[in-house]
Amino acid sequence: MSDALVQIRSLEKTYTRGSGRDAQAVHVLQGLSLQVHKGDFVALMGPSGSGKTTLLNLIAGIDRPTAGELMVDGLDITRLSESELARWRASSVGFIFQLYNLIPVLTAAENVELPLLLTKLGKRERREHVQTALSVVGLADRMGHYPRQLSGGQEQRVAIARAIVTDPLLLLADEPTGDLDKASGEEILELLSRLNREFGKTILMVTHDPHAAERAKRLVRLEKGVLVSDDVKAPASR
Amino acid sequence: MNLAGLLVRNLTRNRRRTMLTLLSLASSVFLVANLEAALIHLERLPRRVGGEERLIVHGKASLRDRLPRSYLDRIRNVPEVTAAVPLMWFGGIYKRLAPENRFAQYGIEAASLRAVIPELEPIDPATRSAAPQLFEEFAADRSGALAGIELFEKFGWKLGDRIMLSSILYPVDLGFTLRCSYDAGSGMDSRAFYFHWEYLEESLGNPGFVNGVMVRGESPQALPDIIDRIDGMFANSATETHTETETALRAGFIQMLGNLQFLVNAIGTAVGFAMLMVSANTMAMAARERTSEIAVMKAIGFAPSKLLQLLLSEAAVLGFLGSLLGMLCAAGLAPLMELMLAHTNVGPLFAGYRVGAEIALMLIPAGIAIALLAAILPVWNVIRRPILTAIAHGV
Repeated sequence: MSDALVQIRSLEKTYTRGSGRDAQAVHVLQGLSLQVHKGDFVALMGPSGSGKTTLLNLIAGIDRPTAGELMVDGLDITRLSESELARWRASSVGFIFQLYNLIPVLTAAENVELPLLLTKLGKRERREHVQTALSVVGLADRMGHYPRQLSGGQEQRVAIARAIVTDPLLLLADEPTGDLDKASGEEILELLSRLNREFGKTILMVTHDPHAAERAKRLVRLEKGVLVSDDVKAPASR
Repeated sequence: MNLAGLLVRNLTRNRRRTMLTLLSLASSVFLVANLEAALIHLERLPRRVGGEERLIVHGKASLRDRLPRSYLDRIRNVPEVTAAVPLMWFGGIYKRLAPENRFAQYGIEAASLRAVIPELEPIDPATRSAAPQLFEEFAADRSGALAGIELFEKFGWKLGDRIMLSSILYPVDLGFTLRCSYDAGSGMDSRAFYFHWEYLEESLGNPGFVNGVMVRGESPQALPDIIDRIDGMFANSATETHTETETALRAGFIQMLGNLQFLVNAIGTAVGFAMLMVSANTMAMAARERTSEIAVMKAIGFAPSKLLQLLLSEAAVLGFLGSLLGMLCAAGLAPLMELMLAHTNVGPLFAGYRVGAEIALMLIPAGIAIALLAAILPVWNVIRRPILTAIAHGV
């Protein structure tokens, strides 16, 4: 039995574009197989439409495959119902969006606390978790700030704190630096590297940016829904 | 923060819109509460003033028919009738024809008035204390008048004042001396003006008629038989009678204005529908604006049922607060409404008008239900959208 955290076999994802007689099947992922081990930091690269974001969404359980097997930590998430999948996402996945997607009416601390409302933690424990997560991303002094009072880089760091606050199995990042300037992007990449290096977090990151991909330990390339290369980098190059 | 805190944050995220929605709900509830309260008030009025044991006998064709005076004695002899008092409408104009000067005037027989309306308590208007001797003075003075305490207060009258009334029904002007006042207690009309019917009779040359007879029965249960006996007694005569309870008489008055109950229900339904549409529009806007946020919450792990619960709770809170505000305004402003109506023709009917708890018990849940009904479709539409499509909505 494999010790992979994420085990993907012959994964297919097909969308239907249009309707009626004009309906057209678009094969986004075609028989893709991949394994991700605990502690990996994988960069998913490829041209637009190659299926990398679709793959990330399938692993996150926010989309469903058309066929194939997708196991995360030994659990076949394709067989879970909507509510089971929601519970699984709450406990196992931290998702980092390109546009941060913070709730504007909540402070940084409250945004980070949001996933903890689904746990059985008490108020004080939640507070401690939030403080820890915000400290890890270097924003312990911005707890009471609203998203509009933060820079893009800070917002993304709050989003990362929200993603890690439940200590999930997997961190999934979709173009996390795509909307940031170079300096902020660097900070975010450094933060992700540190989460992987110091806290052993398993990270899958979709990126267009070869410089961002440099931070990953492993580079997976997709083209037209097919895995075309899977390179594990030498430690020195990270 | 907890889920309740999240709910409050969401409700206050667009304060202006929330306030406008609340005010729209509140004004609708205010309107419906007053319409319903008015209906309930009118329905209960005769019961509150002891009218369940009283009947009004009047001409079959209309209230303005004249009944021969002899009817009075015959009615008094009907079994189970304990007392009867003649009534003559006068239609007098006080000072000048103006809505604020209107009040009901009845020619009556002093000796039998209190037997028919026992809750009418004679008082001294200056001290508001019981004064049965003043009623005796009124009874003894042919041109004496007995006026409700509210008329004394409204017009600044004092005992002994001379009041001139010009009738619009008869070609006479009569002068009256105020001899006594009365307080009918809470809920009854204390704005009527009673005088001796013989005084009017004499001034008209003793034509020998009355407009109606107010009858008191032994018990509410006796009333149906009394009605049959009285109307049966005058059946096929030149002047047939129609005997009805005060409730029915008031209902008849109200029917003159149209089918009020139907009107109130129709307005209530229209207001409720408008409220539903306004709320649905607001909820749809709010839900649409938050499509990507809701998708993010789903991605984080909030189950659709949890989100449905959260968003519907927001709608329910909005519905509750709007209805509560409307009810508080309606209840708080009821005395003002009574005051405003006091200067109109229906003023006496609305003495003691209040918007009671039973209306709140009906309208607050209705307000919540309408808000929930308005929210469920837009909320469900947003929640059931696939996460990816919904997140893209905000981009």
